[in-house]
Amino acid sequence: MAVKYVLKLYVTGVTFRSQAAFKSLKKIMSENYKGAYSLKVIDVMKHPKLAEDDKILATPTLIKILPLPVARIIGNLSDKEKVLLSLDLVAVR
Amino acid sequence: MKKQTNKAGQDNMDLQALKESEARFRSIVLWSPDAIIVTDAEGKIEYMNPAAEGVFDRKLESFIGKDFGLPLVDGESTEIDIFRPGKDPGAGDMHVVETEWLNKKAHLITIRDISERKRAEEALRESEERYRVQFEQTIDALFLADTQTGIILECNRAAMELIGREKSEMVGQHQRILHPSEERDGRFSKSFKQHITGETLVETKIIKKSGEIRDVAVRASTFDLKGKKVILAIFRDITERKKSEEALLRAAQEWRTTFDSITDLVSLIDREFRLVRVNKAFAHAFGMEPKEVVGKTCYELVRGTGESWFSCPHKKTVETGKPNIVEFFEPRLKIYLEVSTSPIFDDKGEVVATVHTAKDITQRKEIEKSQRLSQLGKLVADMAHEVNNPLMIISGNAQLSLMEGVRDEEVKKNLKIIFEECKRAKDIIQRLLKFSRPSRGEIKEVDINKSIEAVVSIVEHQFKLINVEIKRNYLKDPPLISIDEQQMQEVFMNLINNASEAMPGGGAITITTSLEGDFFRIDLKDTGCGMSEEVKKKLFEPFFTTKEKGTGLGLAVCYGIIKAHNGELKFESELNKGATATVLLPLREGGVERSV
Amino acid sequence: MYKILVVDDEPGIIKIFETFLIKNGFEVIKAAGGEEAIKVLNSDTKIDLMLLDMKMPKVPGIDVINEMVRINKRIPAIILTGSIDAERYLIDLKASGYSREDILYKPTDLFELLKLIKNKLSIAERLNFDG
Repeated sequence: MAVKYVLKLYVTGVTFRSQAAFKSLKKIMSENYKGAYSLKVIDVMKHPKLAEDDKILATPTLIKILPLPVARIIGNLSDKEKVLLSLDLVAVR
Repeated sequence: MKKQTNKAGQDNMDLQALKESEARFRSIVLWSPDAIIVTDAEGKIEYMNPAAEGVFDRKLESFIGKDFGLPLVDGESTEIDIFRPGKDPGAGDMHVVETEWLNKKAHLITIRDISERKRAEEALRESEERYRVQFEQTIDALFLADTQTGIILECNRAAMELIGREKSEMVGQHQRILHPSEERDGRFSKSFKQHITGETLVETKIIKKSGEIRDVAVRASTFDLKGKKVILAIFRDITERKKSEEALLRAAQEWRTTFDSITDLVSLIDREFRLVRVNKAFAHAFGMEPKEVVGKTCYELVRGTGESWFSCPHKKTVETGKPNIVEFFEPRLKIYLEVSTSPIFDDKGEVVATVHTAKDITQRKEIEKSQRLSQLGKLVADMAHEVNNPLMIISGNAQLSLMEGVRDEEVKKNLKIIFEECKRAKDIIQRLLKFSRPSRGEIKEVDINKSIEAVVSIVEHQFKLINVEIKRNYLKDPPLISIDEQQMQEVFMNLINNASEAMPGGGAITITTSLEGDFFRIDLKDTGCGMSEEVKKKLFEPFFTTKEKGTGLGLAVCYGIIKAHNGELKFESELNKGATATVLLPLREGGVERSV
Repeated sequence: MYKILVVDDEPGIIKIFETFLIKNGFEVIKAAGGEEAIKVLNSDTKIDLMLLDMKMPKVPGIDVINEMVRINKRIPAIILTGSIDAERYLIDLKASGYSREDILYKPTDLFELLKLIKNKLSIAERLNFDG
C-alpha cells in the first residue's frame, strides 16, 4: 500500500512539549491514515544542520512532504480538527 | 472640473490620514520588543519586524518569502520552542491573528520571548524539586498543616511510615487523626494547640493505622506560606527512648527501695566527711528524714562534735583506700555498732567517698556475752573439778599423816591447818561452782513476792546489825510466774548482798514489785554510793568486782540466770546517789529455758 | 575382811584411800578407771563396797553404776565427786537405787568416809546384799 503522507516533525529535545506534539500527531495519523503515513521526528538539538537547512525557526514544526505541495504547520498540534484541516486544506489546493 | 479638484483634495486628506496611521502602526511594529511576523494564508513569510532578529537571534533576511508554517494556536496563544542554532533554545509565546495584508488573507503572528520567564520557572521548579526531595527524604516525619483549620497540607514518606498511612489518607484530613483520643483537646490535639501558642517542643502520642500507640517528640514552628499561617512539625518516635527512661526510672526506684529497706544504717560519705546519701534506716536512727541529713558532716550528726574521732573508719579508708571494720559502743544511740567502710574510687583511682555501713550488733554482743558467760561457767566448773583432786590428795595425805601419830606438836598443828584449809578451799570452790553454773532446778509457778520475802527474811536480821533497813513495796495479788525458784533466789540474794555492801555505813534497801507490760518487774533500790559510768559499763563482766574479796562472778551469773528466763536485768545509778537494780521476768509461760 | 573396790583415775587419790582403808582393816582392790572397774565387777571377785569417782575420762562413774545395774550386782557404793557434778547424775543415781546420802564431796574428811563405809556395810549385812 502506498504511503499517502510523508511527514517530518521537528522538535526541541525531549521536552514535555515535544512529547506532546509527537503523541498528538501520532494519534491523529494512526487514527485517520493508519499505515499510510511515515513520520520522522527530528530533534533540532541533535540535528541543528537539518533544522537550519529546512529553515526551521521554531518547534514544534510539522512539514508535510507528501502528498505535494509541501506544507508546514507550526505550534500546537493537539487540536485534531485543526491539524487535519491544515494538512488537507493544503492538499486540496 | 470642481469634482476633480475635490477629489484631489479628498485624496490628499486621505493620504495624510493614511500616512499618519501608517506611521503609528510602523512605530508599533518597529518598536515592539516582540517578534512580529506576517505570513500569507499558506504560511509564507511576508514580513518580519526588527525585533524578530533579536528573538530568533539571527539574521532573518533569508527567511523572507520562505515558509514559516501555518500557525496553530490553542486558545489565545501557544508556547513554542525558539530554535537558535548553536545556542540554547528559547521559549516563545506565539499569538496569532488572522488579518488582511494588501487585500489578501494573512496571519499576523506575534512571538514573545519568554525564555527568561521559562528559565526562572525552571529554576523555581528545580528549587521546589530540591526542597521536595529534602522534605521527602528527611528521616523524621514531617507534617505541614494549616494552623487555622488544622488540615494537613503535606507530609513526607517518613510520616507515612510513622503513622502507617498513605499520604492520600492524611493530606486533606484534620491533624487530630494522627493522635489517640486521649491526646485531644476539643477539635485539635493538645500538642497542636501547644505548638500554636508558641511551644516548640512537645511530647505527645500518635496512633498508627494499626491502632498501635507510639510516643513522639514534636518540634514545630509556624510561618506564613502564601498568605496562610502554616505549621511545620517534625515528629520523632521516642517510644524506645521512653521505655529505657522508664526502665531506668524503675531501676532507680527499685534501688531506692532496696537501699531504704536495708535495716543497717547505710551512708555515703565524701572526703569532706559530708553525708552524700543515706538510707531511711540511717536518717530515722537520728530522728530525721534522709533529705534533712544529706549535706551534714557525719561527726556533727553522729557525735555532735566538730571533727572526726581518731579511729573514724571512714577517715582510715579514705587514707588507705582499703575497707575497714570497727566495733564500738555508740553512746548517743546506746547500741553496739559494727561499722564497715568501703572505698569508692573515681576514674583516676582516687578515693572520692566511702560506703559506710553500721550494723546494730547489740543483740549479737549480748548473745556472745551469754555464750561467753556460759562457756566461762563451764570452764570454771571444769577447773574446779580439777582442783578438787589435788586438794583431795593434799587433804588426804595430811589426814593420813595425822593418823600416824605425830609427836612434834608443831608439825601436828601444821598438818591440822593444812586439813582445815583444804576444807575451806573446798567451801570456796563449792560456792564458786554453785554460782558459776546455775544448778538445774525445777520450774514451777511461784508467787515472786513470797520468793523474795524468803530471801529477805534470811538476811534481814544480819542487816539490822549493820544498819541496813529493808522496805517492801510488794504488788498486791501478783500473778504467778513460772520460774526456777532456787536460781531466782540466788539472784535476789546476790542483788541484796550487793546492795548492802554498797552501804557500809548503813542505809535502806527498797524492794518494789510491779507489772510492766508483759513483764513482772522487781526493783531493788539502795541508798548507797552508787556506780560511776565506768563501773556501770563493766557490771556484768565476769571477774569484775568492786569488792576486796569479791569473786566478780555474782552479777555475771545473775545475768545468765535471768537471761535463761528470757528476762532482763538493768541497773540505774549515779555516783553517790544509790543504785536501782531492775529485774524483768516475762509473765507468760514458755519463756523459761533450761540452763545447761 | 571386807573387800572395797576403789575407783579413781587419779593415782594419788587411790593411794590415799588404799593406805587409809588398809590401815582400818579393809582389803582394797584398785581400779584406775571405769573400764577396769567394770572388769572387776564382771569377774568373780567378791566386792563388799565400792568407792566410785564420777568424773573419769573414757568411762565415767555413771557407766560403772549402769553396768552394775545391768549385771544385777548392786554393791553398796559411795560416790566421790567434786560437788555439782553429782547433781547432774542425781536422777540416774536415784534410778539406780542411790541417793544424795551416798555422795561425798572431795576433798573428803577421811573419818567421815570411814563412818559412812561402816554404816553402809552394816546395812548391807543386815539386808544381805549380793556381793
